Amino acid sequence: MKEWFETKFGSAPYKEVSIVKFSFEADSHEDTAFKQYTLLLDAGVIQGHLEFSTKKGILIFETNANPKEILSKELTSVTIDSEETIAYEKVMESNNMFV
Amino acid sequence: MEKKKQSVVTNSYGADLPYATRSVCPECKRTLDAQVYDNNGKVNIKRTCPEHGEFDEVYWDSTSEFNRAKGFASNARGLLNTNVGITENTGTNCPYDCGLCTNHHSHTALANIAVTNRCDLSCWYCFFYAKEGDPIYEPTVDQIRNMLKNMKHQQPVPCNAVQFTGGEPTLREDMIDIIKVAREEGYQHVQLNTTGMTIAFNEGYAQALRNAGVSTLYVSFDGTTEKTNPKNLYEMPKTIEECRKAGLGIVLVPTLIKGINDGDLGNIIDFALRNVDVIRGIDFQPVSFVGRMPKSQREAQRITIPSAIDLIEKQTNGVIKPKDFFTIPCVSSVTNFIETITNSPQYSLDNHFACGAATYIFIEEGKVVPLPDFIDVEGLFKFLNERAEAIKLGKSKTIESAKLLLKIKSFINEEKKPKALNLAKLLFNALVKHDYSALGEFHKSSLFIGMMHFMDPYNYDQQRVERCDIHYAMPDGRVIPFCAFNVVPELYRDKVQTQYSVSWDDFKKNYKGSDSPLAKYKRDTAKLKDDPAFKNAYGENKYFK
Repeated sequence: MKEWFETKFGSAPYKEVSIVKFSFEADSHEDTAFKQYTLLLDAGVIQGHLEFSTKKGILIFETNANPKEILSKELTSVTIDSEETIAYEKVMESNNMFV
Repeated sequence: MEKKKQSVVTNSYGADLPYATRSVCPECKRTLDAQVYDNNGKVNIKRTCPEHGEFDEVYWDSTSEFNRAKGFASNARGLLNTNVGITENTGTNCPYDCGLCTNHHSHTALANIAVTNRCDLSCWYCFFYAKEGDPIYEPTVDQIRNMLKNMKHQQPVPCNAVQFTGGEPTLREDMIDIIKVAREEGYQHVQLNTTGMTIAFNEGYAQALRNAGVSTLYVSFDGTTEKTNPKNLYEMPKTIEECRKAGLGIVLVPTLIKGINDGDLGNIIDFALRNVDVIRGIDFQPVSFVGRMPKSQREAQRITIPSAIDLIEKQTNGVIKPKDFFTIPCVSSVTNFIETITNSPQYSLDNHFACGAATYIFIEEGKVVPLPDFIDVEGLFKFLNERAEAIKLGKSKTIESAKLLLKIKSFINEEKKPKALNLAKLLFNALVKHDYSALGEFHKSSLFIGMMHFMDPYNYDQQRVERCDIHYAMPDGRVIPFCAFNVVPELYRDKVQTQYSVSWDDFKKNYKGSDSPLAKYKRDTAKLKDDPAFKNAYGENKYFK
């Protein structure tokens, strides 16, 4: 049975998630967007963004995912700058407009 | 007030052909520079993927109609509180940055909330229904309430209209409660997207929906013959009867596919007119292709807005003409004028001019009269824009409103207009006094005919998605433009619904219905054919013989 966690935004499928900030190399804006797309396809990645202008990315992972492995699969040169576990409720809070 | 837009395609909005935009590769979904250009009287969109080569697709079937629509391109305000999220999405990787991101130009005019992925039909062109063993996505009432609250907090204009969709929403036992929640959260327009089956076969259900707060049913209806409408040809008359008893309005939603139902548009309009006490409108939706499809098949089945309008002209014997249709953002001149008079941001429909078109028709002494036959629509919009500009430049609101009062009758042809309509009074009350009570009567005596062409990966134009004002609310708080939601379902629709779904086994354990949760509708054709509602429903064309 799938476990649900109560939040102030209704029940959520995660209690905690990993937020990973990283630096990467990319040839072009187009290439960066495509890398973001392929990373987001991974079931372990919940949401995220790769910014070509700064070569910095932020991805939110399920806690049982292996960020290093997933990132290195798609990005040839990547350095993880920080990794922290946060409550998923914080992600929902940042997504919502009414807080 | 407007958030800074960084998009590379913003500046080309409303530019002459050819113009630059961005699109995706239909094969790998890589984002690509693209060009929208004139191709011998048609408008095409082309781009080249480094891996999969060139894709060149019809975008609009008529360059001249495209240019006419472009004349109504309006600037949208967007949102002040875009929800870019903790991952700081800036929109630079559109359409993978939703949303809504800071690059988005429109507020939510209609919020879509998918309440289930179960459906009791299995239409061949729809891929969005769960099969035996699949996870089931049915957000809880609390999750739905939060999605509604979220959209209601958009600034400066809160969302005010919601459509519950699926799957088939009426398969949920708690659908009535969900509708009540939308009303509790302050939504004035609550629409239910349905095949109509539950309504047809459950006496009193239409009334219960109406009592709970449903404003309109949005019912798929692809044609008036067995060939064009295998889905609900036999059932629709019963759905209409139930709605008639309940006083619940219907908008018919035909999906248009060349070679399937493109010969039936006139009959669909005729059918609607014969039931105009119940049917408030028709929203024709030219097909958008899901999944990969060879070019020959796309060319065989694709219809775009101008060719659908041409078909309407032919099939209504020239009664409804291309010039009767206006692109949706044309109404921004009305919004602009009211905003100037009231000094407050208004609900606006500032989507891309290529997304849709619409008109209204009336029945007067047994004949069909399109609204532009008796209102100089372009002249009125131009006059409203001039008054708004004058007020912005410091002229008196009272004097400019008085000019409107003096001039308004000159835009109306009294001889041709329906006699029961006091249009001058209705327009002045709505525009200057903001008294919209008479608009209800306008809608009841008219039939809305609209077109909305949702995109697919082959004709995808980022410029359109940035201005989309029909959005999906997701339970994680993000808000996704309709065509991003469906063009890259793997990132939005499917991904989030998988995260928020329960396994088939878990769903079955908790399911309280008497049938299987995925029971399919079984038609009793002989019985339906015998039903008086069906016998009187179709038959000879009344208005376009």
